Amino acid sequence: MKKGFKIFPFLLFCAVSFGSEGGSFWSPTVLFIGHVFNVIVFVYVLYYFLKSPVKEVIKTKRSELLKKLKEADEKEKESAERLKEIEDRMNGLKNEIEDILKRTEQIALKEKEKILQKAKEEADKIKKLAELEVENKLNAAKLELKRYMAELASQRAEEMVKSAITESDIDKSMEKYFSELEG
Amino acid sequence: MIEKGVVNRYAKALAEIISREKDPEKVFDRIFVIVDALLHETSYRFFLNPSISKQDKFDRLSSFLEEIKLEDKYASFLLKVVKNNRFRVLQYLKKPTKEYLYRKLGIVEVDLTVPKKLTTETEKKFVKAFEKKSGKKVKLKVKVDKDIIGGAIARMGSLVIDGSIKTNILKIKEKLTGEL
Repeated sequence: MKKGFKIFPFLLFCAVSFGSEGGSFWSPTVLFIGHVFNVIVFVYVLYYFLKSPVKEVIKTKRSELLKKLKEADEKEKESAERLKEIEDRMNGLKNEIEDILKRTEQIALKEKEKILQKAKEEADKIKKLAELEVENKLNAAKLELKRYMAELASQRAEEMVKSAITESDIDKSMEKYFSELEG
Repeated sequence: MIEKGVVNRYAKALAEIISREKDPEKVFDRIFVIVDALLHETSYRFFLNPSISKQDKFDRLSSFLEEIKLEDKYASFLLKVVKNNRFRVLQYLKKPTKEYLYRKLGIVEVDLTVPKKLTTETEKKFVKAFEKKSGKKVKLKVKVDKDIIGGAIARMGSLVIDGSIKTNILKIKEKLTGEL
């Protein structure tokens, strides 16, 4: 504001000196110098009044840009960190997946072994049962055969005794019975 | 079906009466000839007919027993059976009465199965042997069965003395089968 007051007399002089172009009081050289002077003054006035707001605008813009630049840097850093983090996690995941796969494979192997063992046991059991059944059937058949043989032998023995026995043999058998009864 | 206990009570009473006779076996046979006659189809149907009154049955039996001149004590027994509506008891009476009577008289019945007919002398020998074994008087019933081959089988009450050749062969067979 003080500066405004300082340049005021100077501006008043210019206005007074070259206010009227129509007059022929001044020579063309002086008029030219006056015009130049007027332009310089105009430029100065413009500079004087516009300097601070433009500067302020530029400063603001600059600071905004700087701020944005900083934010961008921060974001870039943040993104890089996140990227790194994701990469780490990806690496971790890869290891984890490998671990899971390994463990799954181990479990599957164990299960496979278990199933195979169980199947083998079942097969052994069935085999044993079948063997036992076969053995039982074989024994039953042998027993049946032996019984049949015994039956046949006794029948044959009875027939032989019946055909060979004499009256005197019958008497003797009865006497034997009698003596056993008495004894 | 009649209860065994009821039959036994009547059998015991009848055996008791018969046992007092001089010749109980003869009396027993006579009584059961009459009982068998009463159990004949026509008579049986009459006595079991529910439409005929008890008195009619009693009178009919009474006149029949008078006709054949059966001793009073036996006639009373049979009339009491009819009076008590126990005619069915007569069907099952013979065997237990015989058992009670023989027990009372100290007689044991022996069923002897032999492969050939016995001489009287052998029969007597057997009777003596069974009497010695049982300590009772023996009434021997001989049955000839060639299938037993040799030896003999005696049944004395619940006791069986089996010395037949057929049984011996069976025993050998059982032994063989048992050892298998």
